[in-house]
Amino acid sequence: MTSSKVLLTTSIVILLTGCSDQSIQSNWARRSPSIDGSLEEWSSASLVIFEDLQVSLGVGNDSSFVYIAGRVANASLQQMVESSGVVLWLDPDGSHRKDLEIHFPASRAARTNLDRGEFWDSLTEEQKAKAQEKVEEMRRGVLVIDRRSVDSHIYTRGNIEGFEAVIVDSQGLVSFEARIPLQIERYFPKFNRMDPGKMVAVGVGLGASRGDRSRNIDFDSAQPSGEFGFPGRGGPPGNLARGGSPEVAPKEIWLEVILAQPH
Amino acid sequence: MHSLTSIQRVFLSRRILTMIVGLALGAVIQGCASGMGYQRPEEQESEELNSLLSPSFEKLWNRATIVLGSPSSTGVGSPFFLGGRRGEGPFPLIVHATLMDSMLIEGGIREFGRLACLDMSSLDAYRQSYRKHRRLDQNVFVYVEIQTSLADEYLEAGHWIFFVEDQEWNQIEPARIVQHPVQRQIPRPGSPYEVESPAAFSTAKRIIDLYFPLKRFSPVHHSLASFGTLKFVVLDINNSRVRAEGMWDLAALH
Repeated sequence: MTSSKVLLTTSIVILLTGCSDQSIQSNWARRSPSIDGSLEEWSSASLVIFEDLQVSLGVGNDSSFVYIAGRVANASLQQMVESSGVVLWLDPDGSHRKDLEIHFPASRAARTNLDRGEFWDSLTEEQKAKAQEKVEEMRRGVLVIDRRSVDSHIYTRGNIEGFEAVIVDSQGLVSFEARIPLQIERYFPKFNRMDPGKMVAVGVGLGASRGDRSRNIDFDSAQPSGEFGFPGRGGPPGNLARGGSPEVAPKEIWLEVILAQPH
Repeated sequence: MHSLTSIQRVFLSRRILTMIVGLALGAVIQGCASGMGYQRPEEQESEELNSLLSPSFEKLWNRATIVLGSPSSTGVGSPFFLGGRRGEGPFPLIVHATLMDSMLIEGGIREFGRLACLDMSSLDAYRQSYRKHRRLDQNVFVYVEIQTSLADEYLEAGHWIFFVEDQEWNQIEPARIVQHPVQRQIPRPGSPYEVESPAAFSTAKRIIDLYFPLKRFSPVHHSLASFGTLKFVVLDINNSRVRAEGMWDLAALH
């Protein structure tokens, strides 16, 4: 095969996977931004704009957390984000390994087969209501998958570890904001701690959640079972779903981030 | 350095081509083999990790579940009609059969008890209620999910004969069958499966509970684990050649 063919093949592969790369300096966060998706606290921070994707991304950190924010203006990508959520890959060693996946909201990445084994049916109505509340919290939470330890964990709002993430659809833009502890090794021991001054790699997947095909099919029945097999629930949550089929492939953006040090 | 003659170049390029074709074929064959016989480890891992339920419960569930009638079957059965006048074609169901052994039941009780924030006494009551309702002191419970994109008729429990077969060829049919209502697939708005006509995308599933009488199992076995393996068979009541089967490795469950 000639070198031009190799180059062509490589280019096609890169185009098909939809990867974009950029090196950036993280912004030092003097005050911890609230994770609400408004991105007002990011106005003075330097955001990287990916014009071709109509996406902007920013990274900040303090001595405890790394903060990742993004805005999506492309209508097709917005639809995909609303449908599949956002996935972040964090590689504390600066490579592009996808061993630590952070999905939000968790409901877009995680199945909930609560009718399995009929354990749900044996709960009392009061117990079901409590469990339903808990599951709703989990669905809104952050799913972290540690592929090195073959483990996963869901962090609900207000968790003491500090994992938070949110997606907001407002004024024609879809924004997302996430907070991840720098001392990641405390929760996922097979990963190295991220320290200010160190270079880490952050991957952002838009519409790239794993296994979303099966999640996007709901079973409806006389028996209480709806979205994600959640008993008694059905339909898309909130106002996120817009309808129509995505027109673009999932996008993956990698940032090589030098974590800021205190001034 | 020797320069290559044109014949050597041809041989070399052919050898490289052969290697590439060989590698490609190998990859295809490997892919097919793993897809036909077993669920690939990364798929199973993904199932365990991509769940709102805990990975430990998912792991227990996956270990106790066999899939019949699917090309990615973990069962050893044929996904195809075994000849017959009705012609050849795919087995019309995908069957997930879960052997609800004591470890899985306890895992489920704890998992759902955690979701419902049950204290110790409530958890105990929940455990008793679950076991009593299913008469687990007298029955072996198999939780079956059947799915088809063909006629609903195939989802009728009465259309099928279900039985288990132990290593001594004892065939045991369920003493009680409970079938739950049919559930239809609804592609979520915005999903890649959303179509203009929902009828064009009609897959349906049904959950069926099978209760096998414990006393029918060989008395030499004191626990399910001592069976070694247990075969699960699903066959068409009108045509015994339309069948699928899978095998639980009971020792591996414990």
